Amino acid sequence: MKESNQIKLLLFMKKIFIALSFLTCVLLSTNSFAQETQPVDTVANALERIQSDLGILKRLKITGYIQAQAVLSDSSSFGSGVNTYDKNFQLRRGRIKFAYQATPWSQYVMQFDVTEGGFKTKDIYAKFTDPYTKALTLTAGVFNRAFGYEIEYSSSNRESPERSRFTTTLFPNERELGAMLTIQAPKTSRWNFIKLDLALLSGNSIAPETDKFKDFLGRINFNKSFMDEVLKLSGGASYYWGGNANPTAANYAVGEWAGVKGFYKYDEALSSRAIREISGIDFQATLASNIGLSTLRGEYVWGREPGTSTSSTGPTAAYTTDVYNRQVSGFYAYFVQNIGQSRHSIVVKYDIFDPNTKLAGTDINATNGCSAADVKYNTLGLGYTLRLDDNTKIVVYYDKVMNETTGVKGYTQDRKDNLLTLRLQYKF
Amino acid sequence: MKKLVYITLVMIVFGSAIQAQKTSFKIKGSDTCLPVILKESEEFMKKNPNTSIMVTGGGSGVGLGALITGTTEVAMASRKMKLDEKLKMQDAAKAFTEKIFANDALSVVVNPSNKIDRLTREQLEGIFTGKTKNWKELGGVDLTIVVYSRETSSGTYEFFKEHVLNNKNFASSVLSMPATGAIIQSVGQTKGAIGYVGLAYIEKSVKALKVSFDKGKTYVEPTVENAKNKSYPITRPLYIYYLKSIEKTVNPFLSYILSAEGQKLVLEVGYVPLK
Repeated sequence: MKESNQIKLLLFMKKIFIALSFLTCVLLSTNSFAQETQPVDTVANALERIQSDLGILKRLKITGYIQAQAVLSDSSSFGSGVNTYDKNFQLRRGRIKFAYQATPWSQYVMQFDVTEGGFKTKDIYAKFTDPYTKALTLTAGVFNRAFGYEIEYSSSNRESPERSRFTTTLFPNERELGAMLTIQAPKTSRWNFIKLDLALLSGNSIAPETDKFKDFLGRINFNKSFMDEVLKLSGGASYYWGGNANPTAANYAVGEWAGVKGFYKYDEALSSRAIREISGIDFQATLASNIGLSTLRGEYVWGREPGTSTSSTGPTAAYTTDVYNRQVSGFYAYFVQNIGQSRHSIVVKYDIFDPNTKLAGTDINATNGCSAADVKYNTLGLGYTLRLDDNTKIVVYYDKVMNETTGVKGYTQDRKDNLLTLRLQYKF
Repeated sequence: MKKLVYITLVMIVFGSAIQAQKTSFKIKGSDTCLPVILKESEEFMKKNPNTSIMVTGGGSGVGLGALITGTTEVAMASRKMKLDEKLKMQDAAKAFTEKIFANDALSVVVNPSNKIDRLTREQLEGIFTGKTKNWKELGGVDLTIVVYSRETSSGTYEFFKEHVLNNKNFASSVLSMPATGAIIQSVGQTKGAIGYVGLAYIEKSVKALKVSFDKGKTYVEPTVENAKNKSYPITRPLYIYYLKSIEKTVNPFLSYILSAEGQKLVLEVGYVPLK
């Protein structure tokens, strides 16, 4: 009897054990299911959230570069008055650029220059490409003038520390306020290698508009590779027409009177337009060979440029004094050779700027209304670039600056203004 | 106890040394090259367990772009690196080496139900530029032609445009696919479809056409033999680009691809070996 009770008890315990085991299994499996599904869901959700956030972040591109440099002149050409010096430390450029692109068709760009000299706005523009033809792009705001090649070629990539003299003189700040229509067939088209830019500009560079006149800029260029990507040729033709208002009724132009060449006064209606007309052609070739990539670039510009008695620089504000009209011409050529595929490259550059093609030599003197603004310059540049890594490069560049000998004080012989630039650049 | 500490230390040092010997690199780029490079890397990793190779597609342009930005060490491409890309490599202080590892016969494929089995270059140009819209214009059934192409970042796209379309524009109605596999799938599922793929992608779900580049005098089938004897007109080299800075790491893998065994795999996958 006792034995049968024990057996019953054992059987009961066995049933309890089986029931508990089953319950445990169910609980465990439920738990493990929960452990498996919940984290997966969480990971999927987190991943989706990260992808979404990343998608938004990828719309914003931040790039920039810093150029810190030491410049050594062969005379005390820096500073002013009694406080002049021949060695100069400078943060030449400190750029930061924000480009936001939510769709392939529209873009918003802001670029600033932050240096020891202060905070300057460089680019602020919006861009919209017609999504149907993909061939029409409208740019509006402050942006690079699409004139020639050198203006739009980034200072971070350029082999010489500065642009050519004619570029910096005729197109100060490189940028202009206005709107531009770009016509270029999409990449899928065989005509994609041709691009046409048509712009209406304020004519005051990046400064606010000061008159009713609007300037026109047009450029057509091509870009094509040949010989199975061994040779690339590009080039274009540019035309600028415009000008700002005459602040006085007196205008000056170069003429000849009684055998004397110089600036002569003529009447012009007050507030009429001082015409600015510049044409240009440019050409670039890059060749890949065993000695490395070789690049040759050239550009020639000519036309008429209104200025003042002491400046032939393109307008950055309204004229306030009598306008002096000059015929100008300029030219540059670069030859860049990378040493094989190494980090070393060398550049030879020659540029010429004649701000007054109708006068030369001692005909340029103060008595006939001329100034330093009329002096022609030839500049030979020799440079070496060492790329330290993806972001950093060192540039050593020597400028041999040669001005023409004129009758203007300070320019009766070649000035001592050759420059040696040592630059460290970091770009991201 | 001291012995145990020594043994542990020796094991850690030895383990670290083994770990240090493990090498890895990424290969990115052409979808055409993808099947063969995947196969080569799998076999290479079997023989060299301390090497890890990660292979991804996306297109030749994507791979070469990644090489410039430094997100890959090796790029595979079905076209030559462009001069603009070389300039960017130079600006990024990146020296590189170019190697041809195989050849490909670019193949035009249609749905297997299509009775057409051969086309001239001119007929292909008509189809892909949108002038020819129905198969009956080419002697087939009355069926609209559905044209599939690759995206502009694809080296195959550029090669096809240059060599088959004589640089003429693709029709705007052409459907751009992100990968070669998508073209195979779409052509296999659509009766009136036509597309172009690398030779290795040809399978039963599609039919490869014979093509003529002499205005219909001779039609040649895309096969390894015809590509090898150069009778097939749309052949092209396949490239590997790698950074010189990791030459020592990549060289054993490249030597393997160019070896008799590696070239045998090229043939097995469906491409044309160099020799």
